Amino acid sequence: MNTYEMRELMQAHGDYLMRLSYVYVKNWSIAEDIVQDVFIKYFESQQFEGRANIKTYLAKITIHKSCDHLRSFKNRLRILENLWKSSEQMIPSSEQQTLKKLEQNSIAKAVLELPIKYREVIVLFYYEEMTSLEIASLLEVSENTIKTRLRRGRDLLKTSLSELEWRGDFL
Amino acid sequence: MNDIKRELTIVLEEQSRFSRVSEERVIQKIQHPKKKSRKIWFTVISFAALLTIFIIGGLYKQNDSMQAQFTTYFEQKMHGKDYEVIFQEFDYLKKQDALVAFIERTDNVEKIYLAYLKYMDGWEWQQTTGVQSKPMNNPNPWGSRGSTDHAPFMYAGIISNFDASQIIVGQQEAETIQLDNNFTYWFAVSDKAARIVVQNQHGQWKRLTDTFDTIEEDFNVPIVDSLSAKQTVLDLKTDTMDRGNKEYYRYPIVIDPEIDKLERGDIITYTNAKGQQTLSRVIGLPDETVEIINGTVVVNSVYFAQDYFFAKIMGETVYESYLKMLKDTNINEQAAKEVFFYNFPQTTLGTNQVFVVPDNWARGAIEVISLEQLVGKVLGYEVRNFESEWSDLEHQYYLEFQRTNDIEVFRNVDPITYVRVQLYADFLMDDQTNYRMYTTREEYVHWSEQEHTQQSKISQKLYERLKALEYAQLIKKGDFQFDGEEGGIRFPLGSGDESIWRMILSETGIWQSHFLPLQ
Repeated sequence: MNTYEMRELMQAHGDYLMRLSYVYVKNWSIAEDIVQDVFIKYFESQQFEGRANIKTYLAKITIHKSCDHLRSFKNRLRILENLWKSSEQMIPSSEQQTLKKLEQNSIAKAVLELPIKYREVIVLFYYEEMTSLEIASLLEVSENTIKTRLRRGRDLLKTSLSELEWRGDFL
Repeated sequence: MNDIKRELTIVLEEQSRFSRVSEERVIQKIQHPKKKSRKIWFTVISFAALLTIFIIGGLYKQNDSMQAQFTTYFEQKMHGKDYEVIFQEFDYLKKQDALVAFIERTDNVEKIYLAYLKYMDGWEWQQTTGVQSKPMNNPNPWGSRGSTDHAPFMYAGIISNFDASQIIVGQQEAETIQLDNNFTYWFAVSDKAARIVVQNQHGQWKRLTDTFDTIEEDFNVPIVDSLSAKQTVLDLKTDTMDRGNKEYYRYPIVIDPEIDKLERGDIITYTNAKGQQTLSRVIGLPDETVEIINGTVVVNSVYFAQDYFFAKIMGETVYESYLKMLKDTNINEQAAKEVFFYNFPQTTLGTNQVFVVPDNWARGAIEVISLEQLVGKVLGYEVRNFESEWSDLEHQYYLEFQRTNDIEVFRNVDPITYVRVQLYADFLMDDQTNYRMYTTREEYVHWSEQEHTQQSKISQKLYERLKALEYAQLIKKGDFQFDGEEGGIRFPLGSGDESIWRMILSETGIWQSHFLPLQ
């Protein structure tokens, strides 16, 4: 794979992977770093992998790296640091925009506040419109587990939204 | 479009995100990779290791030029990487191929790859599967097991020595390499969707299932509390879903003819070619491609290490255990083997077809049926079948106490009946009544009614309902004994052991259940 093909790949999937990563890390600049890493890793490892679907494979690495980030020491340090700093000034404008949007969209906000394992399946199912079988193969857990998580995720959403004005039409 | 999608689209998609700057950075990094200081040292070691293997190999084999080329080829492919070869064999599957396992280290992560290479005018890297070996406590989507999705089908993974003393992939034993931290790396080349079974140190065989999945699958038959007008009760007396507990034929089953949506895993009844109604499970949905390879179901070329995708007889999914279980009986080994390694050719379902696979593969038919053959969805057993366990008098006690919440209802009632009434409340999922039958003496109270209700909302209802029924049956055979204010019902368990249901005498002289009744 040459740099030209690499560029095409990034243009085709970059935005999608950023959004996917954001769902996990909830920070655009970190998501951007992660997606850069994903492409670099993809470039380095692609000689080994005879994989059919590049998009799924990239998504898999993105999820993997995003989870790694959440567990990482650096991330914990960042959370600690933010406790000391005054919140408003330190947040870059792109992040603020999204935060503002989240305030106006309570369902999206509730989705992003779910624990990760429910958040990811809800996003993949309702937003990316993947089937439970596809999600299962992406996350490498059984389809039944995905269904269980979807069900519990929906229950959690209902509870957190029950105080707000809530239209239950899609559930 | 649903609300979740609409709102997430607003939040996430208002602008293009992955910037040109990022793109440039990636391009820069892949063109000028960072040099690692340690890499030369490891390259030297690895090179020496390969060379040794090559020399030894060369002594025994004549075609050393092919193997010499391999060393150069591999070294060149892995250039700049920190790796160590832990297994290498030529002519592994056929002449002029090679299987290599190697550890690759980056920063603090260590991965083990299994690679298959072929020689045709020169070496060619065919495919690889990798698993992470360090840090091991890091549960990640890579899993501790990997496989390739086209031929040759390679399987590899890492398992703790405690869990596995023997590993079989397909029908042959996997190769194993001991790692330094009580873990074993195993690998094998086998058929597509090969079964992987492991024997633990106690000699028990298990199919290797999703390791990161702690939610136990529930195969208890649900209990249906109330029926709608269209739902019917049917006694099919067919053991096609038997997993060892007469599932779906111990009692009549409730059938719902209105199927609004079919899902994988649904249990249904349908009319078979002979015109009989029979029971099975939906595994393949319309337009999907299904296949069974050596007893494993593959849907759209994806297969999962999950119970109902596996061949099984009476709930047993491992051929080796099944044989052991029935060692002394006169079973037909060949017939059992045919079930456990059953094959069904690749079939693409039509838009009005589904693929049904029963839970008991030895008894039910595995076939493609049309939606017209479907009769209804099976919901479970009707609650009425179980309520007859409790006598009219016990029903009355329950209703009376539920209404009045007055413990005097149980004055002069024997403790066994008392416990059975409490188990009835448990069975009906009446948490309030159940809680109120525990001792009211403050010094013995362990938790509040509110805590009790909350806790029971979280726990698995279905399991507890059937347990309540089982205990009600067992406790009937029990014997009440007491010493002062403490007493207990001694009763036999199904296994032959004995158990005690502990009770406390209330201030007013009525025996009530202890908070942790079972010993």
